[in-house]
Amino acid sequence: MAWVQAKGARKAAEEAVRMVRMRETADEFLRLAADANNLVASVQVRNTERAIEAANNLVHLLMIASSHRASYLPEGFSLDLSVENLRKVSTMLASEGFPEAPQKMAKLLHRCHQIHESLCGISGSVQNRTEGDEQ
Amino acid sequence: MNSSIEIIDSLKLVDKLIDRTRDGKVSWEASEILQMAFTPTDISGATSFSTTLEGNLRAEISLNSRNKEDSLAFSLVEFVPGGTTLLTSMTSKPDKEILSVSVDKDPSFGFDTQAERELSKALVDLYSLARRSALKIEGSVQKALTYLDKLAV
Repeated sequence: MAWVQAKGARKAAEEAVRMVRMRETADEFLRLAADANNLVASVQVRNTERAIEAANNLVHLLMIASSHRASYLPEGFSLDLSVENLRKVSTMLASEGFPEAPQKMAKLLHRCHQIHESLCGISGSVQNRTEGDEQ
Repeated sequence: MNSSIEIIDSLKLVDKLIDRTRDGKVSWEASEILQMAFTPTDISGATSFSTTLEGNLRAEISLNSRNKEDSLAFSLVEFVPGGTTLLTSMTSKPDKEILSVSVDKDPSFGFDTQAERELSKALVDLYSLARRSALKIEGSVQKALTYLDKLAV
């Protein structure tokens, strides 16, 4: 009887840890989404230095988060693509600056919005799963 | 702009074409119009290649450069048997494009989707294989290797 109770308690403790980790993952990606929002703002006002810094910081934090939080991330959201696109944005801005052609500038802005949207999506999806598990 | 259905269908086709070309079961040639511009023995500058599949289907792949950015186009075409020349295509029924996709080889700000990135990578491989097949590069490399092996003896 005591053994069964101990097993149940261990399972409950593991579940509690998992819930905490999931909530932390949702919060972490919410913060990353806020950083991506700063990137969007920097690109909109054509501040090259701030945009490059924001993109580089996001690459750094996303790479850490993607391995650290791998088991809590929802399926279907590709962080690889976001990291690759951020690297391209950073490299392009550092080597050529903001594009002159309106079409290219729109593409760059669209890409930054897309990265922000992806990170919001990950945070929201993990948050939903946490709430679903709690009920 | 490619639809996700076109990308998925193209990926399936391109993957199989890569395998069959690697096996040597599918061979490519420089596209017809290009063959008119280049002599049959000099097609090294060709950037468009095609292969005829069963019946009246033809797969085409081409590399296009515009504004310093390269893009790859892939299409599956249903053609009128017997061949079309520039002259007959003006009067008879034109080729029917069944499937057509175009992706940037290395877009400045990255790809829109994971599938588009996969398609681009697959098209780069297929273009390279199609070019090697049309230019018969494999045979030349083998010839050079055999010659070098002979020198070593």
